[in-house]
Amino acid sequence: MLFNSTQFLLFLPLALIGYFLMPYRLRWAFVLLCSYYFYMCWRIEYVLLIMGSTVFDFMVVRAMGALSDPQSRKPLLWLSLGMNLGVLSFFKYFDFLASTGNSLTEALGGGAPLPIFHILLPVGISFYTFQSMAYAIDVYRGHKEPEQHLGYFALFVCYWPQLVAGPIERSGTMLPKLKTDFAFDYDRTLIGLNRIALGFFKKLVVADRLAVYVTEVYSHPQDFGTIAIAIAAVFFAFQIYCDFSGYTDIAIGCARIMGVTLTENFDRPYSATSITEFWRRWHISLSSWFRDYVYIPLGGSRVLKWRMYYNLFITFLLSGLWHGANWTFVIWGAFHGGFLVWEKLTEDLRTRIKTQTFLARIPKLVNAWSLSITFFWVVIGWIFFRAKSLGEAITVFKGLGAMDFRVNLIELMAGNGLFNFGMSLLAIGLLLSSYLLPKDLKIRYNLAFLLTVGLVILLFGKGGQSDFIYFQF
Amino acid sequence: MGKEDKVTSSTSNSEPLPGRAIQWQHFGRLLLRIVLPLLVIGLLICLGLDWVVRVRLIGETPSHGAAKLYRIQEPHPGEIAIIGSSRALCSYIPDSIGPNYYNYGVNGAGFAVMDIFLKRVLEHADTTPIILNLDYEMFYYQLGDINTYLPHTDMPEVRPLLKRAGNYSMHMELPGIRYYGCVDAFMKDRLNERLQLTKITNKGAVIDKSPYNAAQFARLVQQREDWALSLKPFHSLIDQLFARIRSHRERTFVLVVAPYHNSYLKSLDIESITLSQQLLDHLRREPNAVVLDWGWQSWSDEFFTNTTHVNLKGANAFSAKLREAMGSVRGVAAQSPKALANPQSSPPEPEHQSPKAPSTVIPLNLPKQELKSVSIPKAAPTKTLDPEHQIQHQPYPNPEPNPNRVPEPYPKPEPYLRSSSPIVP
Repeated sequence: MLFNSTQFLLFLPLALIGYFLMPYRLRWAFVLLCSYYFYMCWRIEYVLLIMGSTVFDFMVVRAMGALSDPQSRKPLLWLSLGMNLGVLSFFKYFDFLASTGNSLTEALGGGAPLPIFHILLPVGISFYTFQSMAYAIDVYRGHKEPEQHLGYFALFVCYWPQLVAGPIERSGTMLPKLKTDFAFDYDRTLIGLNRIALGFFKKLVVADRLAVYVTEVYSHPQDFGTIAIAIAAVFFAFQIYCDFSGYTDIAIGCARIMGVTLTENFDRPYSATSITEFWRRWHISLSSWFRDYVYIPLGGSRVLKWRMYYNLFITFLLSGLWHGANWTFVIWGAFHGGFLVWEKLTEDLRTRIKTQTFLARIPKLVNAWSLSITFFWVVIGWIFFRAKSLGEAITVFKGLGAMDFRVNLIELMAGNGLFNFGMSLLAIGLLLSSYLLPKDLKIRYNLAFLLTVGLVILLFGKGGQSDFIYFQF
Repeated sequence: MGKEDKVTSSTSNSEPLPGRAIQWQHFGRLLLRIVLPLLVIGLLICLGLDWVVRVRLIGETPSHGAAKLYRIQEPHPGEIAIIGSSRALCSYIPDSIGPNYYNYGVNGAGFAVMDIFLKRVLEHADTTPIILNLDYEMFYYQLGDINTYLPHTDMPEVRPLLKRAGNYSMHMELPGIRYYGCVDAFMKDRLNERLQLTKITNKGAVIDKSPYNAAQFARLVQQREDWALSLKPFHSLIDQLFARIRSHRERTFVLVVAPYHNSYLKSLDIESITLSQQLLDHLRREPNAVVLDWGWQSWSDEFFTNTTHVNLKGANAFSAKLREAMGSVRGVAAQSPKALANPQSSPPEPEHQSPKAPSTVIPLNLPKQELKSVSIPKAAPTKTLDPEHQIQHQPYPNPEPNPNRVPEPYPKPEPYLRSSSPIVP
C-alpha cells in the first residue's frame, strides 16, 4: 500500500482507532494483521516470503540464544545470515549478477550461459532483512536476549509504518516499545499528525512536482543543454530528499500516534559542510547499521590508517550496492566512500588552514563555502544514483561538461512550460521555509498548521500516484 | 526509553490518570479541538475551492474542455459547432471561418467523447451544419485530458467513460477534493487564456504559437517514422457515428480530415489506409454528409507543430480553405471572416493543394485483392461477428440503426500500435 493512496487514507484511521480500542493483550495481533494487510495490498504472495523468513529467523535465533558458547552459536548465526542474504541476493542481485556474468562471457567469446529471470523485487526486502540480520547479530553478541514471543518478533520485522522503506530499527529499542501498553495521548497524536502532514507535503508538493522536470531531462539527456541538466541534477537532490524523508515523516508520525518513537532518519542533510557530516544526516538508520555491523567488525578506525580507509571505502561500496543491483549504485557508493577517505586524509590539513590562516576571521563565509561545495559533490553523486545505466550517467556528465550555456526557453523549462518550472521553484521555497518549523513539530496552533498544509497540498500537490523512490530498494 | 514510552501519556503536562479514562479525555479533546474543526473548516475550504475552480478558473477559460462541456449543454442558436480532438482544437480558427463557429475540440478525445458533444448539439433545435473533424485514430474510447471531466461526473455519459478507461476514482465526486493535483493545470490554462503567451485562443480553439523549429521537427518526424500504426477501431463507435448522421437528416454533417504530415501517413499500414478510405467512401454516400478529406494533402513542414497537429500558420491556412469550402454547404449563411494575426506572415496556402496522396506514401488505389483482405463489413445488412472484439455489430452501411439491438458491453481497447512506444507526437 502506498502512503499516498486513497486506500491509505482509509487504512490509517481504522488502524489507529482499532489499535487503541483493542485490549492490550490483543494489540500485537491487531497490528500484525494490519501490517500483513498493508504488505499484501502490494502483492499477496510475497507476504509468504516475509512470514517464512520471520519464522526461520525466530527459530534459529532462539536456538542460538539457548547456547552459551560463542563457538557453538556461530553456525546458527551464519545460518540466519545466510538465509537473509540468500533471499536478498536471489531477489535483488541474481539478475544483475547473471547479466554481468553473461556480458563477461560474451566479451570473452562465449555465450550467455546464465538465465535472466526478471524477478520482481519484493518491496521493502532490503529493509526487513537488514533488521532481521541486526537482531541475529545482536543476540549472537549477547547484546540482546532472543525474543520468546513469535508474534512480537513478527511485528518487529514487519511493523507497517516502517515496513517498506524504514527507518531500519534495532530490536533492542524497538521490541520493548512494541510491547508497551500506550494509552491514547492528545499531544502525541498532534505531533504525529503534524509529522504525517509534513511528510505528505514533502512528497506530494515538492518531490512529485520536481519529478516532472527531472524525469523529462533524464529520459533523454542528450537533448538538453548544460543549464537544463544542471537544474535537473539540483532538482533531483531535493526530489529524493523530499521523497524519502517524506516517507520517513509519515512512518514516524503514524508510529508516534501509537506511542512508538522510530529512529530519526534525516537531519537536514543539505546543511552538511562535509560529506562525512552529510552521512551523519542522511539515511541515519542505514549509516548506523553499516557502521555497527560492517565497518566496526572490519576493524573500524582502531586499525592502521590504510586499513581504516579500506574499511571505510568497502563499507560505502556495500552501502551503494544495498541501494540497488546496478553499477550506477556501486559507483555512487564508491564515489562517497572515496570522498570520505579523502576527507579523512586531509582532515588535519584542512583544520590547520581553517584555523591558522585568514580564513579563521571569516568563519561564516568558510562555512557557506563548505556547505556549497558539499552540496555540489552530493549533487554530482546523485547523477549516478538517478541514472538508469552507466551510459545514461555518462550522457548526463557529457551534457554538463559540454558547457553549452545557450538559453533556449523551451529546453530550459524541459518542455513543461514556465508555469511548471515556477511551481518547482515555489515547491523548493516552501520546503526551505518549512525549516523554520520547530524540529519536534510541537506547534502552538496545530489546527491552523494542519489546515494550511492541507490547503497547500490541495492547491499545489501534483496529481497522480507515484511510487516512493526508496520502494525499489 | 524516554518518559513518553511509559504506560500512560507522556508529552502532555497533565498528571497521568489511570488507564482508559485518560484515553477518552484525550480523545474527546482531539475530537473537539482538531478533528471536528478540521472537518468543518476543511469542508468549507473544499466547497470554496470547488466554486473557485468551477467559476473563476474553468468559467473564465472557454477554451478548456471542461468549459466546453458546460457550454454544449446550453443552446446557442445559429452556432456551427466544430467537434473533434486536439487536431480540431488547433486547426479550426472559428473567427477565420466565419462569425458563428465555435471550436469544441478536446485534447486527446476519441469518438466516445466527441459523441457526447454531438448528442448535445443534435438535441438543440437548430438546422445549422455540424463540423466533425475526423482522425484516423478516432474510433476509440480515449478520453485525453482527465481534467476535462472532473466537474462533469454527474453527466450520464461521463462516469461510465471514466470507469471504462480506468480513470474513475471516488474522490472525483467530492467537491474541491476532485481537483486535487490539477488546480495548477487549470490555473495554467486560465493564465494562458488571459495572457496568450504561448498559445492563442479563439472561440474554443487553442493554437500553439511557438515558432517552427526545423531541427526539433526533424526529430519528431524521425520518431514518427520509427513507428508503425495499425488501426483497429471499435466498430460500435463507427456504427454510432452513422446512427447519429442517419437519425438527423435535417442536419448537414461536414466531416473534415484536417491535414496530417507525410510522416504520419507513412506510418499507417495498408489495412489502416484502406479501412479509413472505405469509411470515408461510405460516409460520402450519406445524403446529409459532406466529406472534406484534406488529410492526404502534402503540406510542408512549417505548417506543423508536430506530425499530427498544425501550428498557427497551418491553422490559418486550413481555416481559410475551410471557409471557402463551407460557402457551398447547405445551411451556412454568408459570412465575413477574419484570420488570426500571425506573428510571422499572413495566412499562406499550402505548397501543394492537390488532394492526391503524396507520392512517397502508399497509393490509395489499392488492388482488389488488398481490399478483400480488410475485415470491413460490406453493405449486406447481415450481422457479422467481429473477430477483433468478439462482439456483434452491424455494418455501418446499414440503412437505419436497429432499435432492438442489445447494447453491447464495452470491449477492452485493442492495442493498435505495433511499437511499444507511446503515441505522442
